[in-house]
Amino acid sequence: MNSNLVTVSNLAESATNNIEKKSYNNIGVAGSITFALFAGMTILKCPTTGEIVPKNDYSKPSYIQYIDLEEKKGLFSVENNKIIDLMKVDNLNKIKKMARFENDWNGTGGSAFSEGAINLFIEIIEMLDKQPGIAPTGRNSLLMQYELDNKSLLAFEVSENKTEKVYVPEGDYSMAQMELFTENVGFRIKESVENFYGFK
Amino acid sequence: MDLNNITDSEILYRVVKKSDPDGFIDGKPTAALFMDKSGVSVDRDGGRTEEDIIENFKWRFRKKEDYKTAVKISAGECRNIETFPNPIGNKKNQYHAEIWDSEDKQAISFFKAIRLAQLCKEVQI
Repeated sequence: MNSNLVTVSNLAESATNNIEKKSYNNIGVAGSITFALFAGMTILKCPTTGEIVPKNDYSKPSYIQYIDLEEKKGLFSVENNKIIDLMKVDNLNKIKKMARFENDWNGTGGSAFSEGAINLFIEIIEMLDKQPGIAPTGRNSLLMQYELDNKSLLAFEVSENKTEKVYVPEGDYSMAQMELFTENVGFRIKESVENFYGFK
Repeated sequence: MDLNNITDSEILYRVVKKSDPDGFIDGKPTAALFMDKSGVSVDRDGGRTEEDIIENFKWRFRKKEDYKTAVKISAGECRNIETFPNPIGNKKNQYHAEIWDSEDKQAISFFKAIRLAQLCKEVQI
């Protein structure tokens, strides 16, 4: 019902739409106006008094606003998911770029990355739900780090044979804790990240 | 200026190339900038102005216009976290120096690299 009213209203007010222009041309201007008035009067006629009841502002139907809100909600959640995915995609792209580095890529003698190291970095990034900030090092390893607003830092140096973990609570380096992983590296990193964010 | 010794007040500069775009996270220098397979190559100020040092970096990477920025840290700060600024120099560059993990070990440990990153500042030129 609302959509009928909107169409009639649009026909009367605007002739910019191509479809509307076509129907204008085919039926003729006078015919269109007569039909529009007839249809409008019939639909809007009050059952008791026979008067036109302009209860609503049909130029901006409320159902469009309702749908708009729902769409915004939907987009928001989609956007949130995209943010998570995009961080992973961004990290994977950085690693792909690193794979193309040649020796001395940083101008201070940085090593080119081995295929094994690159594959390990990709595997770990793929495993993590919470993505780290990453940076390539000059010694065939990857820096992965997480930082909280209270200056707590969780950082890993991931290399082919071992991974070093450093945890600094609230920016207090005298309280720093270090750990070395040589097995199940991806799992150990994931577990450390979950502990850091209090997921466990 | 005694090029055989690095005083605590001397500033050490680490160049960052455009082709190394990921050495910073959230705009802050990371430990990765100080993680090399041997000592961390730096240029000491050697009594030069910061402008001269940065111009020299730009000239060095002029072919690909690959200079992006530089980070700096004083030799005293390096010593405070028990790293060893070594005035090794070389034929091409008398101001070349390296930051070592200690007097006997070249490659900086992960933890010390994190400390260097925390203490260094980006050059604002």
